[in-house]
Amino acid sequence: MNCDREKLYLYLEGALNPSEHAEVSAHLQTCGACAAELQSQRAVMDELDRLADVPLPEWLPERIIQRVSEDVTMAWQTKAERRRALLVAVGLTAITCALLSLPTLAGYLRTAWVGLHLAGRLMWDLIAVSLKAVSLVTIGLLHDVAGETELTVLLALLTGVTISLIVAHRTWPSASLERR
Amino acid sequence: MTKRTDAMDVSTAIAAGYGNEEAMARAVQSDPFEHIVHRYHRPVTAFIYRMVGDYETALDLAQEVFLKVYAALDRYDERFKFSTWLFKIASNHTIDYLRKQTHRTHSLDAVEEDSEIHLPELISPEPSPERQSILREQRALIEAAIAELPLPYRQVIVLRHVAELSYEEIAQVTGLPLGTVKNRIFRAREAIRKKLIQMGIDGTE
Ligand SMILES: [Zn+2]
Repeated sequence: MNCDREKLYLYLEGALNPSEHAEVSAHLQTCGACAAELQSQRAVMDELDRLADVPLPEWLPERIIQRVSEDVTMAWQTKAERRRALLVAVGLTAITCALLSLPTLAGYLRTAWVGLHLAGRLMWDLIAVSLKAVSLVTIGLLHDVAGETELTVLLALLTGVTISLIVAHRTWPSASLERR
Repeated sequence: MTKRTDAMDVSTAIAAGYGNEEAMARAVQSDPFEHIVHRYHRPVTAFIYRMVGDYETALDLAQEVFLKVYAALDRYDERFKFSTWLFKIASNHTIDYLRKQTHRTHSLDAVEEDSEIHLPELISPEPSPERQSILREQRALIEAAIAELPLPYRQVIVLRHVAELSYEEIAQVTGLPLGTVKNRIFRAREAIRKKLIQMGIDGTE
């Protein structure tokens, strides 16, 4: 092989594969220049390896652990604060939305109220009509048993009740609605 | 201060660098992060110190690096060796710090692979009684020579000799091709050797 200074360093580090290592060993036997070079390189390598010895204070690992745990606690506090702030923000937003939508909500309620009254009116009409139907059927059934006068009086009474029911429940919800 | 999610992954990774796996696994289970700190604070701090050249700064930066390690533990990639992953964080953090030191940034990153590394003349270290032997003088010179190396060379040579990573691991840490890593380490060693010869200190004596 030719003289190769870079390979000599790798030889010293044991970073060459076995065949390359053997090749350099053989070369060093015959080449005085490389042998001298190797000595010089070895001195540098030994010095460089000594750079790893840095005396450190005993407290360093505990200081590192303490500082990290302080940092973690702080991060947790910040996280808890952020969560609280988020909760407040959500709450305020909800309240604001509710306040802003109140008129609309009132509108919906009024519509529902009107609907309820209309349904109520329909219900009363139905009750009145079915009452009348029931009375007519009853009269028909009683026809054979009771006399003419009694039947006429009963019919008049039932008709009166029905009419008064219809009149009463048709007027008050309409009146209360129209006032708005 | 225990991190739940990764205890086992990290322990397996650290176990790779250990002889007594059982004793190590017990320590890791009790608190993996504290174990990492005790296991790695020395090489990490030594690495940072050789990179920045200032002791107090190195102690501060080491603490910051372990803060980052703790925060990133969930994202530890098992394809890497644990020490490689750790030194990637340490190396990036240290280089970020050095780049922020504006007065030193000029030409820090200027690397021309074919040019000779120019080492500025060394300022002789303050003479102290302890530094009388040639050996001590030689060490002081080496330390100064390392500190004067351009950052890309200093990074790889310190990863090799102080962090004691392999060439492949250095390539992973720096994101450089293996050939570039080898070439830079060779050139850095040669620059330091020439400096020592120039100062009249030679290993052949
Ligand atoms: Zn030769």
